[in-house]
Amino acid sequence: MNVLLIIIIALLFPGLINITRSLLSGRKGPGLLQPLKDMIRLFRKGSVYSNTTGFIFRIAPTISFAAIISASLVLPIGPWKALISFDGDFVFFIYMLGLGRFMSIVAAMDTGSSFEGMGASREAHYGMLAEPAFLILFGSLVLFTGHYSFADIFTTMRNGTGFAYGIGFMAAFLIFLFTLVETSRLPVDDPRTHLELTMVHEVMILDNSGFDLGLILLSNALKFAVFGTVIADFFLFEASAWVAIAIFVGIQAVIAVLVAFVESFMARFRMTHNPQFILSLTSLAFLIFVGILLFLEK
Amino acid sequence: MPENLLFPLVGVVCALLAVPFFRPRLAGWMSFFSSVVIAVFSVIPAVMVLSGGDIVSTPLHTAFGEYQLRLDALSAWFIIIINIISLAGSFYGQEYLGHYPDRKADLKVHYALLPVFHASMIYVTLLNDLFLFIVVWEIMSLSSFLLILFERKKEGTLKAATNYFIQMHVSVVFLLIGTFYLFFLTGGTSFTDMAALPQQAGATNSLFVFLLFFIGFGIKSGFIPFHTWLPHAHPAAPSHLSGIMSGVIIKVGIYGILRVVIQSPANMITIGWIIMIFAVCSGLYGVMLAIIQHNLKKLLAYHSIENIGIIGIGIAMGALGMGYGNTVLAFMGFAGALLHTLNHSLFKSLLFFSAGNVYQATGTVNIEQLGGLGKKMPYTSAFFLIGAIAICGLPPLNGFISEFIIFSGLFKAIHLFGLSESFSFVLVIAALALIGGLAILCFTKAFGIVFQGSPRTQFPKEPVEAGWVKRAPMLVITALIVSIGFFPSLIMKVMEQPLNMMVPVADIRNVMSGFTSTLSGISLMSGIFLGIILVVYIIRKLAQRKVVIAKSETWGCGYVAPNPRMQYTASSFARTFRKLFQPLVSVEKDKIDIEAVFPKKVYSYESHSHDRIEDKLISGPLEKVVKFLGRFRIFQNGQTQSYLMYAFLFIIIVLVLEFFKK
Repeated sequence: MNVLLIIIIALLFPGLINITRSLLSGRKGPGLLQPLKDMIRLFRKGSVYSNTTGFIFRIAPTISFAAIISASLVLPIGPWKALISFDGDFVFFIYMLGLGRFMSIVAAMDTGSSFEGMGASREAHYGMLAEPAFLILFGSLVLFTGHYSFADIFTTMRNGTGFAYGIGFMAAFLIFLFTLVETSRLPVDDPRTHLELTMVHEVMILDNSGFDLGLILLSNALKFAVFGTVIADFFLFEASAWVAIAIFVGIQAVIAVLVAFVESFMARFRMTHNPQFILSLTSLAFLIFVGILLFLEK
Repeated sequence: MPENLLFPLVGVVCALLAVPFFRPRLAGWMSFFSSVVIAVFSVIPAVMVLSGGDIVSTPLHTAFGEYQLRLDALSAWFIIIINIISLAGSFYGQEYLGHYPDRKADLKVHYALLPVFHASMIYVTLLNDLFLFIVVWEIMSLSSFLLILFERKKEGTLKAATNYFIQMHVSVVFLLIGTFYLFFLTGGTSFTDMAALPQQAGATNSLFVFLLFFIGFGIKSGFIPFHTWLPHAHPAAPSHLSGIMSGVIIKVGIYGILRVVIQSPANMITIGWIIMIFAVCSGLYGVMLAIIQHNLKKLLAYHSIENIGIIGIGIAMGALGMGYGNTVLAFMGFAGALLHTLNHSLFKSLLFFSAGNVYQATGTVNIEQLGGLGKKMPYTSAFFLIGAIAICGLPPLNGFISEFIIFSGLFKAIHLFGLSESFSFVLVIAALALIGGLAILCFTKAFGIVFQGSPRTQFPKEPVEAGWVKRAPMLVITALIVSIGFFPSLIMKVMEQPLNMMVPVADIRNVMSGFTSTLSGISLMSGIFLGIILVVYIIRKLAQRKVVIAKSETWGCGYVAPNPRMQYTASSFARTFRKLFQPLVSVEKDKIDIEAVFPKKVYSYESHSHDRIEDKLISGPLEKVVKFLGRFRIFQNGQTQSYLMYAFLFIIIVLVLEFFKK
């Protein structure tokens, strides 16, 4: 159920981002279903593989995709429990995404292209710098709620006081920035750039085509929806199923529109500034942690 | 019958008496057979203890008095690890050393010493009395020193081995001082006497004794800043031995630290924080230096330091849990540490064996010269990939399980204590997360450059895959890695007895019952993950059945004549990292003139990485000492006349002194 919801969101919302961006720049833009159509077309196309590549290049997109789906399985959505929930499932979540990243980096290195090596190197760096922020944030939430799994943490946060919602907002903001890094969006990476030298994610998949490319696009969209779900979970208060779905879709839509706004009005950072930006996420997470420490008057 | 702990010595005797008299090939298998004897006789009692039996002990009558060999659950756990890796290494070594058929004498010595080394590690874990312990410890260090020397004609091996030899003796000095101090304070010389220290001599003395032992064992296990022997010795040793050294020898140091920690109940909190600081520094520094290495085996050696750091975080957490009286924390910490000890010895030996295959196929371990080996050595590359994923702590393999246990403990600890503790624990969480990220960076680099892409050098002989004798032990280790990753609950059951030495058994059952559901959740997720891969892969196969699958060159972004030298190199892959962590990691670039007829002056560049701690702590002071002592060099001028004159002067001085005395 949860996974279905996430997949539907993942299929529709890249389209929403595109529409919003087009409207903001005064164009009509493609339809909502255009990314979905692209994926379907790619799934039915043939592929060209580089002579340099081996088996790992062919299996990597599949593994990355499976990793993201597996990660999404531990996420609850409001009233719907996750498929599996255990103490420390957020560690599993972030490490599963790490596995996905590992495979995509290794696949990019398989082509022997210097451009893709460059993208791979950048992806590895940004992931490395971003990961602590996520775990510190969840450390703060554990400190605040006294629970150790996604489900318990979110339930406690939702039933908490105004302060809990304050923390929720800050956490959501942090995860929003984290999403921009992890899904290779502006201002860290520009998915629309034409120059390979300034790409991160796009340049890693230069040699993928056909089914594999479709899978990669779908994975990236899924990653986006998965983080959106984490954000939405902070605000899905107890409500009937339909209301919850409405709120969930609404929050995801807001996130998509926000991303479109960021992409329309901001330029990409210089490559050397990216580490600073990503490290600031970690300091933000520390700030939240200290705030909670002070609030709890330890 | 098999309860007699002297039986493993049969293997040693067999090795020493029989091995040297056979042809090298047969001697090798004799050596392996001796190791099997040692393993069988030590594993049987170990399994009995681990399955809940009583402590096995054997009296030892020596000329110096009555001693005892004692096999308790902690020894049993380490004996299992030592045996797995030693047997795998010995088996792997058969083919590895087969590449040196003309070194008959050296081979025989090497084969005879391997079981001695194996047995000495086992006996180290069996001795409670410190003097005997140090004697066996010394046998272990000496035998490994001689084993490292096998490839002594390779550049730098002799120096690295000497470095190892000296540092191991610095470690022994610390252990000896500790023992003497202990004897001076309590009159006893065994590990168990340490427990009485706080009552007899006060907490400060007890802490002091602990620190002496911690430094002694820390040198062996490679905690920062005592690690400097490790990155030299591991690459110098033949690969099967590097696997054993990195897999087990440094774990013997961990064993020592655990022994001492258990026996120091008075200062648990202080000890916990001390180990925590050392461990976090080791973890971060180890992986940072690993990233900038060009030598594959040196990279792996620095990674051992990182993993020792992770194990150390576990031990520290366990000690803190005991100190604060929180059994959940103690359980998580020690369980994580023990499991990571096993896990690291598995994947690190696998990685070292893979590096050995690469070395023997190509003749180099310089990452920058390698590339595209995945197609020529598919098995080796698959093993390396599995080892890499496991060492990065990624699911669904075993590294994730132990890191997950440590993470769980840290998250549990976050809201248990006061402000400063909470803040420290969140820093450790951040450090551990950063270590994980850095490890991914490091191993995507190592795997990507060595096994992926196209070859960067044309080797005189085309690289070929290793034979089955090398591959068989690697396959066994891989199977263990995967099964621990998918069925963590089973291995937790085995750890119950060793953990019982630190945490009361009722509490273990209590924590375990809650934790098992978590672990089975992870197992289930791993299974689902594998299922999804399978399903998507089948769909992909079906979808690709009817469409055209073409092959072509790698897309060069419009450039049509790319060559292998244009690939991204290891240095460029790590460049962003190097720039970011500039103050901590230093890389020196050398400009070398190329002398040939060129229209302009041309240079080639070489870069060398430096270990700043080694420079400041070892090389720097050493240089000053050498410089100071160099002033006395004028006396040793090589002329016999001067030396005769010194003797003459000495006699005169003695006579004059004698004269004045009267």
